[in-house]
Amino acid sequence: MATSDNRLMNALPDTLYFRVLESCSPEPAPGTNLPEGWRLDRISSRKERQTFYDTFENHAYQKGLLVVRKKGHIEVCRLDTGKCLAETAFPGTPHSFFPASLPEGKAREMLMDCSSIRAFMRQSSIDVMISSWRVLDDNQKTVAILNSESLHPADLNNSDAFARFHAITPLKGYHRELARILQALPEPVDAYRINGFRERYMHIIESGGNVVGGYSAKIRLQLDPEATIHESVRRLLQFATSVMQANEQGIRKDIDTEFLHDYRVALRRSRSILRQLMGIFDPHRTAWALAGLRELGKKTNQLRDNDVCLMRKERYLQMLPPALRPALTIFFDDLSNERRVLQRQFCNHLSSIEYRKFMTEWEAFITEEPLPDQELAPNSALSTKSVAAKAIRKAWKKVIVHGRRVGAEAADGDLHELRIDCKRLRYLLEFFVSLFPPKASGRLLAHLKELQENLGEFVDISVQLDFLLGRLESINATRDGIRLAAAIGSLTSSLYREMEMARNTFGETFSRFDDEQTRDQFDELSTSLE
Amino acid sequence: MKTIALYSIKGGVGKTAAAVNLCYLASLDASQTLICDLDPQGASSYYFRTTASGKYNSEKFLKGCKKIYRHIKATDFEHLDILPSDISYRNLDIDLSDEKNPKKKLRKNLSDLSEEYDYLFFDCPPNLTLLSESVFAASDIILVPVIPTTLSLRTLEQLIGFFEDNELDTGKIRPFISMEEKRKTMHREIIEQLRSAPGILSVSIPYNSEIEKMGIYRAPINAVRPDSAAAAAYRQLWSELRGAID
Repeated sequence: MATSDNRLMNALPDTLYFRVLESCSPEPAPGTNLPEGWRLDRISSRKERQTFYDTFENHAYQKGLLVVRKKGHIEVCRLDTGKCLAETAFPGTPHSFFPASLPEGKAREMLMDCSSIRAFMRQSSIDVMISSWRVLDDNQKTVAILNSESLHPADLNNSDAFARFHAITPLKGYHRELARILQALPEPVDAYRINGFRERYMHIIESGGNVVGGYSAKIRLQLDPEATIHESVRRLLQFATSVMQANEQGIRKDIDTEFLHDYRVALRRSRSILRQLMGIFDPHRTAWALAGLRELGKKTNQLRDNDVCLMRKERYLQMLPPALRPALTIFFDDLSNERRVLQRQFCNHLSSIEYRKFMTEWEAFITEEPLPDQELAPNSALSTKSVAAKAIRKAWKKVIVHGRRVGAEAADGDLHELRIDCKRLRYLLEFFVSLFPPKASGRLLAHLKELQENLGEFVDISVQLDFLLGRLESINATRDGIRLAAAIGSLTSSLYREMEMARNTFGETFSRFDDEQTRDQFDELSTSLE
Repeated sequence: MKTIALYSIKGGVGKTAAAVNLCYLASLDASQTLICDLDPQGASSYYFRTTASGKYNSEKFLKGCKKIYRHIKATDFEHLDILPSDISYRNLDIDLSDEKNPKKKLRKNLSDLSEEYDYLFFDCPPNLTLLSESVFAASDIILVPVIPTTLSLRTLEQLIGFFEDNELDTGKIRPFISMEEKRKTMHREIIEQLRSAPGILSVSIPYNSEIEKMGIYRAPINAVRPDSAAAAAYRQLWSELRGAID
């Protein structure tokens, strides 16, 4: 079979969507304005349930794809033309699903490519009443297909359509006839709003009260360099808080692990900025906020460790000799049960009065507009740019000093600390990124990212090693216990080797960061604010 | 992409009817199929109710891919497209003779279509010219309808002789009996002789009024009269042919 998404097929004509404006209804029947000798030939009238899916971060949309479930299949379509690129059988319309759960094939591959760890969530479900016609020319040749669609919210016994479209698809080779084909519409073209497939999709999603692309955990703050740092930090904290709040529901529903991850990153980002930029708020209130955020973070630590270990299940199993794998499978089952308990505990906390009270006070803290007392917060009135330059230089120096101190043996503790230093610098750079020329900050972030990846790999394995070795303490000396101990022993020795490899590459990675070029780039960044 | 030419030196032997019906059958299992109407009379274009757009001509056909793509049209049948013929095709031979390597021209021009199509059918004009030679080079199979008459038999022999003289692959030539009338003694006798012809397909297409009515239906027999004897014969022929090419 020839491939369907090659160069030629891409040249196929798009479907044109004509949104019926409310003022147009009731419309006359289609086809009454056709040229002499032309006519419409009815194909069918049918009702179709369409359920749209995407990840929380709209990964499919970002890649120019649309995921829709109809007629018992998941279809992956191009967002610009609606052309189906891949499909696979899909029973039911679950609230969410993981691409890995789909049958092997192109559809699974494409969605895995969008995101292998995020769940595809149901965004909107509609019932489409479709009447289809062939548009026949004076030779009685089909030159286009006309679909008249009325879109209704699914499962609501409400006969009112929230939108009506006429969709015209000229057949291949009949573009030149478009002007005449359009006469198949019940009204002249200017009576409609002309949409592409993408607009039609946006309209459907928005009619369900959702916003496409409304969420991103990445910072997108446009800071004013002359604004007080008090105002800019408050804006950052408000942004981070909105990220935390946006993820709460996903954590509660346990849709995928990234909700908790994004929640934790936002929380850490808030703590890190508050700790690094002192003298901006009343110190008592800052201490209260930091303590509250730290406690909140602590409540998620074990749950996140379990998530990370469970995500690596397949990889860990592959690292073991087959005879030891069953023991580890049981271990993962236990871990999964334990995770359920931890997840429930954290959800209970999210619903608790204690959490609500903290968040209410926290929000009051970050929305408070008047500058605090200058004696208590001497830096609060400084300009954002002056604080930014100083803070970044200080954080960068810290990374360099600590990094140089790490030495050839690269002790665990030193690498852990350096990783935290790097994260702090990263949060600062991301916070202030809008103040710098895009290229300069981009280059620095790329250098820093490389160092962070090396340190991250080391620390992640180190945390996993501690996690697994900690498990050994609670294993009983039964037959199953011995097998599990052997499996964990085998696994930890493999992980230890990987950790040592990461340790060995640290020196080289750090020296690339600690070079003249990076130093110049930091200087350039600081001076750009003067 | 498998390329099948419906070809005969002689006219009126059922080339177009076979090309239209076989390409339709090929497209039924969702194989992307293109029929390329090379006959300036445009009979298969007529059967599919298409005409070439005003800007299309033999010159554009010889320019190749991009120019050709733009003029391919969808038929009324899913997975089946047509490159309609144009009256200017009557000059194809003259135009071809100006080309550098005329015998390989068609193969080169249509090679990119293999990204798009699983089957390509040529409905050829009845003659033996430079265009025919270009078709021979571009085709995997040359399907030759043979009416059980002396003249038709003679043209098959001429074709085989031409292939031998020009050291072409005679294995590509797959004759089949067309417009068979069982009640005619001469038909029965000639068919008997033809049975031993090299590469001949066992299925024969009967002379059938339904096939003549294709000009009225302007559609493949299997699309409008699938229960007819002619439709069944084309299905058998396609089945045998597919077995020979896949």
